Amino acid sequence: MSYVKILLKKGYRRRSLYLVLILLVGLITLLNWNNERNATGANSLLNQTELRIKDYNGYIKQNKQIASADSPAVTNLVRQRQYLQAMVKALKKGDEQTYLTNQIALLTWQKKHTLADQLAKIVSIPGMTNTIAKMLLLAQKQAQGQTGVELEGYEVRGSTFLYRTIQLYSPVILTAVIIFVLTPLVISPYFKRLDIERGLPRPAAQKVLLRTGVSVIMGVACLLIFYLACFLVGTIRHGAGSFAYPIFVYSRDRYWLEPLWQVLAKILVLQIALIVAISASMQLIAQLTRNGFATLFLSLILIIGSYLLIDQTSTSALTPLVPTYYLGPTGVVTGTFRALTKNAQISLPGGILVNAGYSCLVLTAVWYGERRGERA
Amino acid sequence: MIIIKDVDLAFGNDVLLRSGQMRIDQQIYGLVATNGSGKTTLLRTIAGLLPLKSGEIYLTADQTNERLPTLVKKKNLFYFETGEWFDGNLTAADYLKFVAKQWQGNSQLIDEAVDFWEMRPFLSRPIRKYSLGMKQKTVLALYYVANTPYWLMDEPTLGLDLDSQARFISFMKAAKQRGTSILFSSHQNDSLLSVADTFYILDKQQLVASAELPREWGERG
Repeated sequence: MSYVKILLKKGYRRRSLYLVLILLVGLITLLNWNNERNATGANSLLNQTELRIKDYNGYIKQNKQIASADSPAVTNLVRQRQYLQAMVKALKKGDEQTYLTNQIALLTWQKKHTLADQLAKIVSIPGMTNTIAKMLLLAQKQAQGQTGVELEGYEVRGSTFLYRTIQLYSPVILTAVIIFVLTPLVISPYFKRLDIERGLPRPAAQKVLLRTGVSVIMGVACLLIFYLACFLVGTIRHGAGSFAYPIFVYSRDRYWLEPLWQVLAKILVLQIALIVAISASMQLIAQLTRNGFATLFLSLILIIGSYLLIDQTSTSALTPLVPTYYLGPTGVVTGTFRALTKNAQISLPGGILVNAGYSCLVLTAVWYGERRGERA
Repeated sequence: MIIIKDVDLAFGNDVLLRSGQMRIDQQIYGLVATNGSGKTTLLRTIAGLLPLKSGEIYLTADQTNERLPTLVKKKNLFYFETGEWFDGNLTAADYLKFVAKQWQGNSQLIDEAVDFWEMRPFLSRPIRKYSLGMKQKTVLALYYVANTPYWLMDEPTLGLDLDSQARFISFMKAAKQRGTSILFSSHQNDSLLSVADTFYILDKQQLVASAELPREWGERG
């Protein structure tokens, strides 16, 4: 049996691993239920649209007091209310495509009149035109790809719920699970405070690389289980959704939409780079502490703690040089952080480069520590 | 031959051995010492598990006496200190296959070791369910499947019942006949020391070789 196989067995034969995975699936189910509660409750699209109709009723009433019923201002408001009423009707029928058609009509109308209409100019806030244009672009893509529409931030369908869970919860929950899974692998060379793998007839560099390779396999398995669990939980309860769902991607001064699968693929690549860095950090911690519990505890504190302490919208040029900055992968691959900080270095290649450089440095230190044993 | 030359050993601030000399070559060597005097530390150091602070430990080629690289030494030497080293979630079968592959074994040796130590009933059971004796039988089977010319053993009969202890003596004699050089530690009054050809006595920070176990050591304990 090879060294790789025995390390893998040490990882997956642990009974507590399955308990953690069951807890993870339970937690994901709870998150989906929470999203569902929000998506169908007071914040739901239907409720929001109905509230907007009520607002419009008020505006129309006020305008009728100061102008005639056929004045342009009143006609405009009535027209917009008609679109909203059609949207509500479509939502009640569950006809999302008709909802989108009317939303597109409303936004197109608003975009056209926001600049032309004097009233709209007065009430417009900076960026309003941009917001309407963005919403229109999104609705057009959703209609075109027949991806359906969901309440932003509380998506429930398999594909979109997966994306939102990665964005909101993967930095802490998934990282904690990966650290837990990797602990027996990185502590494997040590028994109490003795380096028992020094006796293994292999060069230190090879052992370090094989251990890192196995960590990546186990870490990616965790990632895929997390992805799959999110997707399946969402799909079983609300349908699969669409992997073509449009996601906004930003550069410093412009934005566009990319299909969800493309964003997810970039996230996966960044997360694999992160797993290598996590494994390297844990191997170093294991070498210094030579204790399983201390390795687990310190890794959780240092890796997740440093992520939580980092302000990802900081304009400091040094912040993106911290590997754990990239634990929030969606903000990096969609360019949200790049746009907020006006820092072009915050990107997928930048994240890979930072994590690869960090991993090389730390693995060299681990190799140096193990190499001392080869001389004996 | 494994040469141990001018080796100093310490555990924290306690000096265990000063300028220790030893040669391990195609014999069975019994390592005798009082508790806490450094037997395990010495075995670990020879195996390369603990860094050497001073002196030299190396393997020489049989014919030329040329010093061989550390990796070659590791490939030719097997040391599995205790059943405590096992990962409880793995099985004896996992460890036997692993050791055979990493050192110089093969599947035939695995079958022979399993039959010799009557391990079939628990071979595929997780080690956490083993008794002390089962673990020790697995440790001894690992030595066999490692198939290396040098064995270092620390209290190899720990936890074995009387039948298995008798089997252990024949196990050691057969290994010696195959040309295996063995250094093992055991209790001072242990009858198993009878299989040793030479004794190394670790006492008062000195390592002394003796063809026979001095009477006072045999009677102690």
